[in-house]
Amino acid sequence: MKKHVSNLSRPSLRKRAAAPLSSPQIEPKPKPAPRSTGSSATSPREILRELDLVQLDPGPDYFNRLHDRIMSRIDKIEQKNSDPSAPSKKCSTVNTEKVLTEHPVVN
Amino acid sequence: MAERAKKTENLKAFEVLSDVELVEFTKNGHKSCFSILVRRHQKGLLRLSFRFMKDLDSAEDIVQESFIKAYERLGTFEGRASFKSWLFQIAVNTAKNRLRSRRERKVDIDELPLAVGPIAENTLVHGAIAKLIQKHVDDLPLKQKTALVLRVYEDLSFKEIAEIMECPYDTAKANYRHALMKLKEELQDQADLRHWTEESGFYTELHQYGVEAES
Repeated sequence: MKKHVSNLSRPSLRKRAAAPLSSPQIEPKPKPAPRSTGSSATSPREILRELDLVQLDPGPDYFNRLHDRIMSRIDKIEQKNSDPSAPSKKCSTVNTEKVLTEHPVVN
Repeated sequence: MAERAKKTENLKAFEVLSDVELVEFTKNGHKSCFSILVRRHQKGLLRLSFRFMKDLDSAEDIVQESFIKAYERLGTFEGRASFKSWLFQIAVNTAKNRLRSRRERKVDIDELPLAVGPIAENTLVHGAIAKLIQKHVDDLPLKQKTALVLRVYEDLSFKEIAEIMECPYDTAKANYRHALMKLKEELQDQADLRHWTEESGFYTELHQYGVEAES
């Protein structure tokens, strides 16, 4: 008959079994304190975020307009892709309006 | 009018969907679902791009380009990373390329105009301190700055940061930790900041972030 070998024959388990129940071997890692969420900005993260709001200042309707510009460019890409007479299937992602104003052609 | 109302109603029904679901619908031809993704992520993307580009026009260009690239490559998105990580990765790479080409054109980045709006009186003091810190953040090496910005400002996990930076998890953490340490060294030398940093528990917070990065 095969003799049953207890798991406690393994040294690591013997050690764990011998330890009193009240003293856990693995101490739980201290969790970092919750980050500050107060309204008055005192932490660097909050201050930087506040600064962002001041610096960006895009205006109330800015994000509606940005969304519309993106979707209109996507529409144009779709139109070009579906138009077989278009010279290139892949649309350039360069914002031509801005390129023309930022880099004028030098004669 | 009735058609418009119906359309809005339909869009509202889509708004509750997750990013991955919206991507799937977009792939199947529902372009309005991509419009929801744009609305959902454009603010975060603009904030992120602004930190790299330092002016609103360039930041907006990065946002537009990133969304268009994402739309064009949507077929390659497999959903292994989150859509947000994938989108931010496109934006970070686009911003890096743009900064590189700026350097090649020998433009002094520091001389570029800042899109600074009118500063409210009650933010003047904080604004001045923040500008000092911002300067030190801007001076960090690009990889460290990227890790810091994504963690501190965008609240992303190290797993997401690693995906965006296309580097191992431990490298993302190390870049973040080095950024914090460098920031701490720089700020400890600033007499103007000493009072504020001690009062506000800035170093405690830095330490807390450091502990987070170590764990």
